[in-house]
Amino acid sequence: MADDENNRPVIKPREIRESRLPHIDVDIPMPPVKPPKPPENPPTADKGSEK
Amino acid sequence: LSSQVLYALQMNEQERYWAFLVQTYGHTRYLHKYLERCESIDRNISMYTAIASSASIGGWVIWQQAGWVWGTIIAISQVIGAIRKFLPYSTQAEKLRSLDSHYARLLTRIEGEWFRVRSSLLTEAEINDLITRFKPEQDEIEDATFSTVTLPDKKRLLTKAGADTVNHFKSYDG
Repeated sequence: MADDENNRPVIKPREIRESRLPHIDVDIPMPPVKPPKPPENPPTADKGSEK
Repeated sequence: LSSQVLYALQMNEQERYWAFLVQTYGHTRYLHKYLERCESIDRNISMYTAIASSASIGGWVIWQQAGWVWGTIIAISQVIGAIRKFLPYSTQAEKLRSLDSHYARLLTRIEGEWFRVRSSLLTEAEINDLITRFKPEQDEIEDATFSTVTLPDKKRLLTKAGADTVNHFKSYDG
């Protein structure tokens, strides 16, 4: 199933059941991640048009 | 603007995956510690009954003057041996052994995919798909266990599992 306008997959709803196990109470920050890959169809920016 | 929105959404999914990974690791440690506890209790019961019955008979033969003491020890060990099957530790250990190994295998796969997630090789939708693929597997593993056994929360084990999790991810570079 795809979004017609952007031709990207539609995100499924985040209805995820909690684990039956007790929550592990830790706060560990996410390590640095690499920059995301550019979108497949980036908007065309007219760099030279602005003066 | 659209690439910025995509970036923000992707970060959200990466963070969500990170949280999922951290929780799964913590749960794996918790289950492992729970299993160790159950096995330890079960082993201690076995040792007590074995030692008590054999040593008491020996003691009774040697020191006959305190026969009622030896008799009581033997009787207690016999009762424990008889009700052992109905104590939760043996069943919990048996179920946890299976759950522990399933969880460890699942964790390996989730941790393996983290490289692609942190390297931004996946889109937000693909990360979301990963979570929605792993989560039902986790639910299935848990359902198979918890439909037949209950596992009361153990705060001490939770704290230890939390400490293990922090140590594991302290120098984590994926």
